[in-house]
Amino acid sequence: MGELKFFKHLKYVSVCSLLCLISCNKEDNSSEENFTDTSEFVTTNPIALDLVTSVNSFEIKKKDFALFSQQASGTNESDMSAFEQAYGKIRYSDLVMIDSTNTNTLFPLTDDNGVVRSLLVGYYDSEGIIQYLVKEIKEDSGVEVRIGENERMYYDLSDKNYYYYEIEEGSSNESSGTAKSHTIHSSSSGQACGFVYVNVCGTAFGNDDEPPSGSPDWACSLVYDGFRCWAVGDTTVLDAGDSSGGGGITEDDGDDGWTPVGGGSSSNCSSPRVYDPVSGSCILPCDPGFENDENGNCVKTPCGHLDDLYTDAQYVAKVNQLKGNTGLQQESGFSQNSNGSFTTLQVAPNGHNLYIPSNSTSMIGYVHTHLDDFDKVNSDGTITTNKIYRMFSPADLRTFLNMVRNASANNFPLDKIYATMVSSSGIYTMRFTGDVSSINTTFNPRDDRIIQRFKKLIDRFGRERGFLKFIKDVTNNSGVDLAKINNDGTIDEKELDDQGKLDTNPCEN
Amino acid sequence: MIVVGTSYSCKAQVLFDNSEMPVEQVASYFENENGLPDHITYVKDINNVLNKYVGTWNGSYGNKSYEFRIVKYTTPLVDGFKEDILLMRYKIVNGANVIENTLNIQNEQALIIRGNFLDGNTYNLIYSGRESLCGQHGDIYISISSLGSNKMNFTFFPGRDLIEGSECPTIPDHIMPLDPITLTKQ
Repeated sequence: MGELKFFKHLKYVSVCSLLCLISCNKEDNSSEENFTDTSEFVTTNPIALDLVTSVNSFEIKKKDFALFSQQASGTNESDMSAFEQAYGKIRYSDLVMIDSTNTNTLFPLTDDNGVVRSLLVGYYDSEGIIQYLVKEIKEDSGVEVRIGENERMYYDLSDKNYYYYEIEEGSSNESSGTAKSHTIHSSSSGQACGFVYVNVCGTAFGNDDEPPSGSPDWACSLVYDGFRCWAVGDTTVLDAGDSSGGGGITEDDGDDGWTPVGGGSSSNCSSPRVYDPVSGSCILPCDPGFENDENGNCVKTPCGHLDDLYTDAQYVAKVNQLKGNTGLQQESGFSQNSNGSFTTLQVAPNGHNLYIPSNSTSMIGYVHTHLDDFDKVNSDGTITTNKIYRMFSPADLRTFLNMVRNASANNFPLDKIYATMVSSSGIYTMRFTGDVSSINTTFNPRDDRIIQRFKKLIDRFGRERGFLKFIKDVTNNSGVDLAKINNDGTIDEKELDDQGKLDTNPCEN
Repeated sequence: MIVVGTSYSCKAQVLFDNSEMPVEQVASYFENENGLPDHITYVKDINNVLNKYVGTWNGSYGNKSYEFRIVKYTTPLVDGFKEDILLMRYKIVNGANVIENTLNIQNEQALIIRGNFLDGNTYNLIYSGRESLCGQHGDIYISISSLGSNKMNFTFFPGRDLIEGSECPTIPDHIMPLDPITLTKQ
């Protein structure tokens, strides 16, 4: 972020005159910030209290953090975890700014290493309700914060200092003439000017041994540092600002990259959609088990679909029935029709395979067994044991892919399509979340060379990683999600990471 | 990486490669969740344990006569991995009627019965017949019979997974013996 580079010669925090800091930045650029848990935070500022209380008690729902409020039907801890994952943890540090008139707060959100990832501003809106805005730091250099109609704060990552500037009408060459200089983001030429203050904090200028914040020996004072003008090219997008009045943090208008956290909404997002800084688009808040698709709508996560499947009474009954069949010498199973009904899979005329009738065009899923090892007795009295690969076979995979493609052709929701294999080594389910047009079923699943590669991959890498590698490397398919339901009822999603290693991701209940 | 090791029970110094695993050790990893050790790239018949299966073996089941020709073969490097296996070609006749003949099939063509693993005295092979998509497939196990080294147990387990009716309006019968038979070395 380069708009304020000219400020970097300043060694001290510059702050808005409306903010009287009780804690200020260190002048030593090399020193690390001292982040502490917010439980150690003591303040009488109602906004900060509200925020800290919320964080400590995980009462995100109560505080209606807009992005995650719809997820509050789950555990508050998970909501908080999602928030922290997106923006960082709210921790008290020297970078926390609270004004003495109790109208504003500014909190840095950090990762576990204390690196500032986002800035969180709390303020009262026009109705006297506390609102929060959060802005993620994406740039390497820093982030700009709007703290008032014409006031901006820049947090510089390189020296961990705030820099303040005001935007005033000046010798701007804006085309509108009368527009304030904070509309410079829409200006194609000209410059913007502002008053620059240097805020000097400490017991003495240049003293690194700062006393605790709030100490009577600790003081900050604003020093006027001139009137500066800068070119449009030095700035990034600033808020257009359409409200009058100066001091205090104004309500977000959604045009400055801020995400409303406390119920505020972006003017670019029609309620109930909220602005998502990660995707840069308006999204619907989603309940647990849902996620946003590319259009910002809520769709079920793979885990969410599995939850649906594994809590379907009919399906569970069929699975439980099949659990008792793995010791047979004949596979058994059921197909499920799009109307929800289950049909027993018949044994093929050869007496061994399971047979899916050719009129099963409305099939949306199947569940079947893979057997335990079983024996035959040779003529010399020795026993030969048939060792079974208790994972979906290449033929199971191809049948599943054909079913997905058929469902797509009949406009049936793909997220309902599944295949389940019940065995004594585990219950596995396949679902499809990929691009139907890229499905490849041209492989012969019973070509001895294909089966050889399948079995070698299972032998070498284990049944889960081996099968996933078979899907990817041998059949050239993607979008097949594999999950295992464990004996305790928990569900693990299985996938390959970028290095081709097995990644097991438990679904949260 | 080549490692030089010394066998104290033998006078000769032996060389072994830690990227190799003897074929007879593979089966012990079947219950290992992660499969074989990552560094194994060649399952090799270091101790020539597969040699006893090599040759021509004949037998019968019902009205069918069977001839199996077994050779030892090193697979090409596929997925960064190669293996010493047995390949089994076969001819099945019913009187003068030739039901199937794969004796002249090339090594990497379909319809050859391909070795998979050795478990003790028993060797597993992958069988996919001409109508495999419609059920002619399964596992074959061979083992030298306790009745003599020129006798071999032959056991076929038909495959049991899904057949799609849309692809198989008719289901062919199995041509492999559905019960264990004994083969005789020629």
